[in-house]
Amino acid sequence: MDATVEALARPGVAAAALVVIGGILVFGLPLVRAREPRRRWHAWVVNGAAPLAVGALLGPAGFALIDAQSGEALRPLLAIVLSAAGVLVGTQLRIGDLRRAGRGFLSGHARAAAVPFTCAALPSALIGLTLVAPAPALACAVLAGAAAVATSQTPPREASDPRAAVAGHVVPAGWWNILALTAAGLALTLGFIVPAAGLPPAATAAMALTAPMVCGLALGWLTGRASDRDEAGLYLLAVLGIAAGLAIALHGVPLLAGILAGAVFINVVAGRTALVENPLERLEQPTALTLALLAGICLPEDAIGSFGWLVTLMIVPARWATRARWSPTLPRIAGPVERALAPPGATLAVIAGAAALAPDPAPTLVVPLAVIAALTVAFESLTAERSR
Amino acid sequence: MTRIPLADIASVVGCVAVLLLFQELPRADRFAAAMPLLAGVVLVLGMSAGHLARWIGMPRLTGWLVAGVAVNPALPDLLHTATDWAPPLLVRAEHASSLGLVNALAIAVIALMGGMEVRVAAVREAWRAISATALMLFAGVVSAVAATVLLLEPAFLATAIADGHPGWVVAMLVGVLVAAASPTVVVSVLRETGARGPLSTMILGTTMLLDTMIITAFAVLATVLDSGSGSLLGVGIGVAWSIVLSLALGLAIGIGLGRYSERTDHHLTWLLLGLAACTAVAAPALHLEPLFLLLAAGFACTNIGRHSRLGHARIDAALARIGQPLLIAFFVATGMNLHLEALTAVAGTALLLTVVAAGSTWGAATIAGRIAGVPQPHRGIAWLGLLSKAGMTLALAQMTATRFPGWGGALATMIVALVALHELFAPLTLTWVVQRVGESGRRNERAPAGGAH
Repeated sequence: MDATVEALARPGVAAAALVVIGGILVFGLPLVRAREPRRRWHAWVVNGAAPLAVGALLGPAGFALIDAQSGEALRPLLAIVLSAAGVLVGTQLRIGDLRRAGRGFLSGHARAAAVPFTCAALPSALIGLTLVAPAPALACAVLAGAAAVATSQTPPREASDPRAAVAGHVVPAGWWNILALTAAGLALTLGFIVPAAGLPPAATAAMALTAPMVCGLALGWLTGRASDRDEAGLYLLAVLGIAAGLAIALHGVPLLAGILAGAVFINVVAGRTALVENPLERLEQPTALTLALLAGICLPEDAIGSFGWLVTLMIVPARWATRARWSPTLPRIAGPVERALAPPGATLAVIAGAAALAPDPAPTLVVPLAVIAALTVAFESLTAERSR
Repeated sequence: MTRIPLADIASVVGCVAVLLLFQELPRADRFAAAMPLLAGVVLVLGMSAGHLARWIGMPRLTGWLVAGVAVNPALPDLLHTATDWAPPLLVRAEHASSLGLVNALAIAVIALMGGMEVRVAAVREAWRAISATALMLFAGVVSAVAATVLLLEPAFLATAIADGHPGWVVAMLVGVLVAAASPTVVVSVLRETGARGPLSTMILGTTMLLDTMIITAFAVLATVLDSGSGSLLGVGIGVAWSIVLSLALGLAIGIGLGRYSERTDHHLTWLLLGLAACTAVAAPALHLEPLFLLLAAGFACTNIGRHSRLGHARIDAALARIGQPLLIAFFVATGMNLHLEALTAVAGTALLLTVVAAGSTWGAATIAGRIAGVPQPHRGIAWLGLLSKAGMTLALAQMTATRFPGWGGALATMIVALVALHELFAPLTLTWVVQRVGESGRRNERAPAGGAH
């Protein structure tokens, strides 16, 4: 093997441990189901809480079994996975589908989502402004708001009527998540932007928004030339990498880049989108799990700070106080308590991944977010036990 | 010639524009930014360069290598020195090396593919030719190169002798380094050309057997040169143990993989990628040889157990899905990381040793072909398929440089230049060979009934 492999082997046991954990997750994926009453641990994995906690414990922020250098070497992978998560979100923004959902549905749920968002973001912003610079403080406040909005798309209870569960929970929760992730992506891109050489901040921000759109167009053009699904998959992978690299180089986070690229791709390219959508669907579960694990591992040593705990403390009260009434879930699918503290699901893992990759102080939010995910999953297990 | 592939030209221009733009961005120096962007650009650039190469009647592999060389960080300086014209730097040296993870993964997957290419029945038929050629190559190339080094007396030899090392052992060490082949390049070319047949099997088998001999010989010679590092017997046993353990573990993994693929192809692509990544990173940490491990895994997957054609076809399809991007990334990254500056600095010696190695390969392969009864035209042109050098040679040269600071470093620079030369032409000569004997494209032909093991 060549020198690069030797160089990779230098972190030694840390790298081996990481690969083994990654391997377990990848190989274990077919075994994990979203709802498995007999195996409670599945919910912890699907929601990202377990991989996030495992990653954080193993990484430099925890017991440092995986050292900072190894963690740094994995950040590109986190960037690509985050970009993939963004594209998954973006490809759900097909204008035709949004039209079919109806303006009333979209605006009604956007207004409802704004309630927990504001309840979490506003106090977080006030706390943040007293502790850090305004732009990062506001970006972190938006992240807190997004975390309050995030909702697992798995219905809280086994539904007797699957169609009612889809219309009453899956689709609205999906729309809430899209709003949450877009807000988080925007905040992290604009909140931490550093002007490129010789450019004003506004021009750099414009570049950060247009570059992914061009990537989406390029993906459409390249997919149009692809001879088969494998070639289209190759172009998808390439564009994910380019969008992620450009986003990081612009001091941003690849989540928004992925969302914009995906949205442009799905709306501009007609006919051949299935070539990309099918591989993307297969990526959904691996993306969430890998993202959560990497988000934990890539946390820097100083990521356990009081700022993150203070900001995330706003999320639980915001959910409790507001969602009993404004939850995306219809009352006939879940009771008021279940609706109030519904698990945030894999969306929280995506937010945590984005925060882990963002500049300070955003990474301090990751561990508290993992705790929130764990608490809500534990709560869900408890209510499931009682309702039995 | 068909019409001009304007779309591919546009893709290449787009890639160049992205690379130029990227360097102006505030955090372009970050590894987390450079690695994903470069990986993406390498895929698009490689794909388009491959199409363009096909358009002018060349193998796609040539396009991939040329694309890599075109963005090589050392190229602008070299052109500036030679012509006074300095093209813009497209990829910084530290960024080019950031593709190490992709490269390691590619090598691991290629090794797995290589093992799957080897079929017991075909190897049994070609065994006489494989063993004779490997032995003759080892003896012929090592002795010819060693003799040339002793005659030339390059500076590193004088330094080594001044340090108290026996000159003939140093010369033999150079011979061993130059004789090492590259199963990775051979597998990649066979996969890319879809080659299958007696000569392809012979070339692949010879390369693998030769590398086993090279690793053992290197360990023995290095120990003779550095008597303070441990006993000769100890090192020999260590190397043999590492290879045997890698092969045993690889066989076990391969049997398991074969059984899994018999039952289902669910997440098989992920499983293969995970296996390759785990092995590439974890095996060296456990003192195992990833190349041998994955070759053995691929071999076991194809040859051990009562497998139906379905399981094999599933793994083959999964490897095909991940194979293309990895092959492209591997060859473009190879071109991008070629040590062009070393190539120009020690070009004379490297060129001379390349000629000597090629000549002795020709002689050894021809004699071995006569002994083993290899028919023409295979006997006459087989040597052109046995010239590949890459990862193994570089790894051994790197180990020499680390173990013998001073003359080891100078020797490593010369070996790097020699590998750079070989990387430019060896894939092309192998491609030509498999096309010449009509084995190219036969991989996709239906296997005869009962052909699957």
